[in-house]
Amino acid sequence: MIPPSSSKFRFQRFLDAIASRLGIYSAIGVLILICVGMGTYLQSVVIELDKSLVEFEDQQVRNGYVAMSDVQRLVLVAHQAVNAGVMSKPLATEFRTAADILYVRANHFRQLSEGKENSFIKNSALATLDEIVALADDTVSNDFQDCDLVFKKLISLSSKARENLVQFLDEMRRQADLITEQQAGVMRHQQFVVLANLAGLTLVGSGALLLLRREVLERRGREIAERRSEFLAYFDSLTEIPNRIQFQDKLAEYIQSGAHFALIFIDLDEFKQINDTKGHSAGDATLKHVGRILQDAAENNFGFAARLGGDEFAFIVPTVDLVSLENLCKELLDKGSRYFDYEKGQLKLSFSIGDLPTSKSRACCLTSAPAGQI
Amino acid sequence: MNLKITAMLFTLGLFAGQLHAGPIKQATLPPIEHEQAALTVVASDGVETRYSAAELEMFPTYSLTTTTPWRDEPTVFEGVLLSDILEKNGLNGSPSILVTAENDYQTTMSKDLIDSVQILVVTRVDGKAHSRRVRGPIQFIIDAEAFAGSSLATEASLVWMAARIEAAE
Repeated sequence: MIPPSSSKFRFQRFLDAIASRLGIYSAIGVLILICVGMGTYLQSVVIELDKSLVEFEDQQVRNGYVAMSDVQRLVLVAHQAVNAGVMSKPLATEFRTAADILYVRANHFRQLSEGKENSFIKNSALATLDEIVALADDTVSNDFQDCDLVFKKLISLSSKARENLVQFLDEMRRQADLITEQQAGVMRHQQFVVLANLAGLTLVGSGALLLLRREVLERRGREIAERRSEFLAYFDSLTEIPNRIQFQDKLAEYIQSGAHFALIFIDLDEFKQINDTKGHSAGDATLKHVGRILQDAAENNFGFAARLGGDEFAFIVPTVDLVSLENLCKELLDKGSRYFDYEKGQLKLSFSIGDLPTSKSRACCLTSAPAGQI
Repeated sequence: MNLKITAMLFTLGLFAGQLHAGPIKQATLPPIEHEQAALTVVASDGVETRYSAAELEMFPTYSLTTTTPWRDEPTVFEGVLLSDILEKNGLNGSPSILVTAENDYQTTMSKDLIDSVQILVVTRVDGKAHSRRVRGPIQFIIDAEAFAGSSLATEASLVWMAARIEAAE
């Protein structure tokens, strides 16, 4: 047996280790871990992105813009009252409503900031909104006394609020850029994780394919060996016709069935001389040639040919007709006496035949030239 | 035999109780003075109806105790069902409605959302008239559990200071 190269041997041992129960369980575990890890990571990324998006768009930017609008609403009502020279009842209602809306907006803004890192800008904006609400509440509680002064203060505070809110929105835009950058980073990281997972899956898949291939090859090898072993048990390996064991089984079958049949024995003449003078390859070629002749004859005559060993062959024919048997023997002798090719030239052989029909108390023997013996 | 029948009736009673024991319960509301507010509804035929808080409460009234994104403690909300208002004005067949708030906020609510989740148009909180300073006087509220379990309901559905309802184009 040729020893495998060391690297191939190590690889085979590695495959053996994987193919063990522990190895398979470990591979499945790794596969599950890869899938679970990948799924968990992707889920966390999606949640994080969603959260960032909601926090930024809804809770921060929108509230900045709406707060500016709410301040403007209050200022407009006050402006209308100043222009009209009096705070009419409908305008007073509108003013209270506008103050309430701004109050709710400021509170909402404050609630969104709770528990988060508050910036100075946001706190400044909120403080200004609170000042405006307080001024509006004082105005309402004072029954809208001195609207002109209130309007001037409102204009001043609204300008301050606008300035603070614009700065706040600018900071939000910067934070938006940061979020976008973070998202890009997450996507890059995600790409790496996906590639790493795909590489892991490819590795595991390749290992599985190698194991499968090895298993298939081994199974195929076992089948060939089994077929070879079975063949050698009942066939002669050189001539590939049935051997003596199968011949004995067949003969027993014929005898037990009670059918009439004839036994023909063939013995090669001077076979040892062929081996000695022409070599063993010539001897093997001779045996193969005889085997082919007998096998063809067996197929044509519904018979059974076998090599008993050495240069002895046997032939079972399901007939006891002496004429047919004699013709068959002559045919065999005729074919056997012809030259045949082998690897180093041509050969001609001779052999002796003897038959023994079961229903007649007569045996005959034939010999091709030169004469052999039964 | 009697024991078996009693047990069956008891089981049926429990089952019936579960069917009717939703978070939103019908309630009779005593008259109170509301903050000045109005909800204008544009019917399917284009007719506008302006409902004050008191006029809204002419619809069947309900009570719901729940938290909201802005209230950590369970609060008793009382009002009428949005579905009743829509049905009265022929808007229950609209694929979606547009709701506008006093602060010009607008949101669109789909028929699927309205059909799948009960939305309470709240006029009272803890038995008192709802106030504009706490997102009233007319506010849309959804039970917190139903809100969390709905894929259609979002914070945008919880309209504050609701002022106008019409069919969305």
